[in-house]
Order: sequence, then C-alpha cells, then structure tokens
Amino acid sequence: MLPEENPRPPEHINNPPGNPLLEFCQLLAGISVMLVAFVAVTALAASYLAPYIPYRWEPTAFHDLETPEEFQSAQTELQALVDELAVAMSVPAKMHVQVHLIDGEPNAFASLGGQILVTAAALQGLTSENGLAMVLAHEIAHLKRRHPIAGVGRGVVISVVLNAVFGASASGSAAALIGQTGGRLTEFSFSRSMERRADRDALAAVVARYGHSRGAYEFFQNMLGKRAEASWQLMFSTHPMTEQRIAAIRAQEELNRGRDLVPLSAAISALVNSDSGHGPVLE
Amino acid sequence: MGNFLAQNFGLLVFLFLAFTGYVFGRAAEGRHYISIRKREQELRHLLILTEKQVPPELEGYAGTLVAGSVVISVDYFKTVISGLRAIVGGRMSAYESLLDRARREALLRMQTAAAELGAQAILNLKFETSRISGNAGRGIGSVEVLAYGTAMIPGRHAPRPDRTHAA
Amino acid sequence: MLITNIESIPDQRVVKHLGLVQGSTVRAKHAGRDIMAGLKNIVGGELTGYTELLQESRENATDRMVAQAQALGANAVINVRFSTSAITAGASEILAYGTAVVVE
Repeated sequence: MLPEENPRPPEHINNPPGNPLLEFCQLLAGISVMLVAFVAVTALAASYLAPYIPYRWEPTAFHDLETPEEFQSAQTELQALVDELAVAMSVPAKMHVQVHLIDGEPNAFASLGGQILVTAAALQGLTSENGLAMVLAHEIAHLKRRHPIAGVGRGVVISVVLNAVFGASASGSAAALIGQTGGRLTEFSFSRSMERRADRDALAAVVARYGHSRGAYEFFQNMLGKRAEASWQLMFSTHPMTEQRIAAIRAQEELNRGRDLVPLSAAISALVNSDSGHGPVLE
Repeated sequence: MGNFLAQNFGLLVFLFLAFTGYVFGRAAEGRHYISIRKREQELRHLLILTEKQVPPELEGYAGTLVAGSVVISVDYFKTVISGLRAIVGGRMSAYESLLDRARREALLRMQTAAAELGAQAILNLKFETSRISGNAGRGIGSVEVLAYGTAMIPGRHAPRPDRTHAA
Repeated sequence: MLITNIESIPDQRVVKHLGLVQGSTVRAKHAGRDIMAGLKNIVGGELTGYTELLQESRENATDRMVAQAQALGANAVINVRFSTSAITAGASEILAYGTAVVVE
C-alpha cells in the first residue's frame, strides 16, 4: 500500500543542532594546548640534548667571513676581549669562539660553530669596555649553553612535524596558518627564556671580571632610547623587553656606586666614535 | 602598530574571511533551509520510493527518467572549522548540514521535473554524490548531488520530456 | 529493524510503504592517522585507519537512516543503497537511503 504523501522525518537526525562558534572555540583551544605542549617538549628536549652533540659536528657557516679593512684592528681587540671572557666563563677549550666585526644593520648574534657576529653599527654609543663585555659575554653564554644548535634542532623538528600534521589535514592553508602562528608564539617564549639565561650568565661574568656591574646596562639603555616597545609586542618577539632587561641589571646598581668604568681599547673607541645613526639590536 | 599589521597580514586576512564566511554562510544556510521546507511541503504529494517494482496502484502508468542535481560549496568558516576537525578527528558537523541541504535540494529539483510532467510518483530513486574535480585539493569543499529515478505518469503514452531540470 | 537491499523482506509481507528515509554523515580521522596513511601509501597495502573510518561512517549513516524510519513508525527498510564521495581530503562522506516499510 502506497502512502498518501512523502514522510517528514525529524530534521535533527541528519543535521544535529549545535553551535558552530562554540565548536570552533573548543577545537581551537584543544589544538592550541596540544601545540603548546608539543613545542614545549621539543624545545626542552633540544636544550637538554644540545650539550651532548659533539662540538665539532656543528657546521661553521661564517668561518671564512672576511672582515672589512677598516675593522681589522678593532676586530683584533674584540677577539682579545672575547678570548679573555671565554676563559673566564670556562668555555670548553674545544669550542673556539671567534668574533667577526661586520657591516650592516645594528645587530649582534651567536651562530653555529662558535661564531659571534657583531655589526659596527651595534657598537655605536658605547663608552666603556664594561658595556661591550656585557654584549660579548651575552653571546658567549649563548654559545656555551649551545643555544644556536638547540635553536636549529628545535626549529627543524617543529617545522617538519607541523608541516606533517597541518599539511596532511583537509584545507591545509587555514589550519596551517593557525598551526604556524601558535607554534611561533610558543617558540618565541622559549627564545625569550634563553635570552634571560644568557643575560644572567653575562652579568655574572661581567661582575666577576670588573668586580661590579656598573656600565653593563649601557648597551640596553642605548637601545631603549631608539626603540619604544609596548607590552603587546612582547608576545611577538624573540627577546625579552629591553626595559625588563635593564630593570634586572639595575637591581644590582646599589652595589655599583663609585665604581670605575674601564675605557674602551683604542681601535674600538675610534670605531665607536665615528658616525652612524642606528640603534643596536641584541640577539 | 603598522609593523604588527604587516607581520600578521595573513592572519588578519584569515580572520576577516572566516568572520565573513560565518555571517554570510549562516544566513544563506538559514534561508536555504526555509526554502527547502516550503517546497518539500508543496511537493509532498509526489511520492519518492527506492523500489524497482511497480506497485499495483501505479500499474499502467508511463515511466520516464527524471533527474535533479545541485552543487553547493562550503563557506570559509566551515572550511576552517572542518580543517581543525580533521586534525582532531570526528564528526564534521559543518559539512553534514551542507550534505543534508544538497541532497534535499537535488530531490526537490527532481520532484519539480517530475511534477512538470504530471507524475504521481518516482520509483527507483538513486543518488550520486561527488565533488567537482580539482577543487578539494585546493581546500575548496563543494559537494555535487545528483538524484534520479523513474517518474510514473498516469496515461498510456510516455511524453518526451526535457529530462534534466535546471532550477 | 530489518534492512535489505532487495525489493522485499524475505518471508515477510510488506503491509505499508512509508516513503524515503535517508541518513548521512561526514567524518574524519585525526591527523596522526592521516600521516600514517600517507606513509603507508609509499609501500601500498590496506589503509586500516581509513577502512575503519569508512566503516564507522557507514554505520553512523545507517543508524541515522534507521532513526528516521523509526520516527515514521516503520519496522523495516528495503532497497537500501549507499553512496559515498570525498567532500574534502581525509574525510569520508556517506549517504544511506532506502524505503521505510511496515512488514508482517
């Protein structure tokens, strides 16, 4: 027997009611938690394992970097200071720390294979060896703690896994964007903690060398004058806020009253006093 | 601030598209469901069955093939939420409503084609679902549903109809 | 609930036709399974993760079709068919449909 009309089954069976925005928030929260956990575990594993990687395995990308003619004498003096600091900071003898003075945007960073690169522009405005030693000790601390190789390892693992997870999923572009943003923000927070650790080491080295920490914050203060930072930018940055770093160094200032600063050596002093308008960036 | 905008341009475009997709997609889906329910009510007398055998009530009727098809695309918000769902796994509710609408719309178009021929019932209904090739790889989710069956028309001679009905 | 894909239920008489019932679902496996499937693709063989996914989806779609039939007061669904397609990468979309009937 045929029916009179087509049936009208309940609508919710094939289209169950639900709030898509709520579902979106739940998914986003869940995935973010997993993402942060994964990046955190990878970062911790990378910094834990990095010291066990034989030092000679590290490639030395900047080994043959040529120093411009006019920086030669200043670089020799920088290297002498770096060597003294490296010994004082008990850097293993196998790790030969090499400093390169180069042209370019204000910047200073440590790289694979014990290389430290400093641009001349980054040194502008320094008045004492104390400030310079702080910058160099900061980079040596990165090298000693094997931060460059840990950073590279962490970056490779994270990008491979994120690509696999977010690339394999449907509609990769949108999900990949969320994955990359979340991964980057978490990674930055680990970079910042590395920077703080290097700051602490560097300050200890400067205090050990000069007996006080006066002048150590010169470099950061110099930077603060040139760049205003807002707290929301901190999330998107690999470095702690300049003001926070200075505040940490200033906490010791009480001890520094009346202490003498050590003047810069001749060639560096000459370089620093030549004109250049950029503010330095420490990495 | 300008620097922040430049760095996160991709993210901002994404948020804008997702928001636009949510607002317009939801409105369009609501309108579509209202229209589907209205037309389903109007065409309820035109029976749809999956049997091949002609029931005794329809014996002596003429039969002819009728079909209805539709291609519906997801909005950007649904693409995003389904992309996230694909990572975690589970039911993709955003696509389920899409499929539900597409199927009912295809049925309605088939019924409209049959109604124009004066049919009383459609036998041996079949569905084909597929995606327009090439789109899914680029993250564009669209679903194509084809419904077809044999329209049973009272009277001895089968008419020569326009078989596919474009709405 | 009796389900067949022939015109009738064996040994039973169809007393009443109730009309078309349908069930559909779209499901996906988590990304780990997608990655494993991608690796399996290199050596070939059965993608058990996706087999499972298809099976779950089919059961879910059938359940929904049965739920519709029950809501109409049917005790059997005859002439059931499945239709499947890929709405987006890594997700399976299954439709089950048939005619809800009352049998004796």
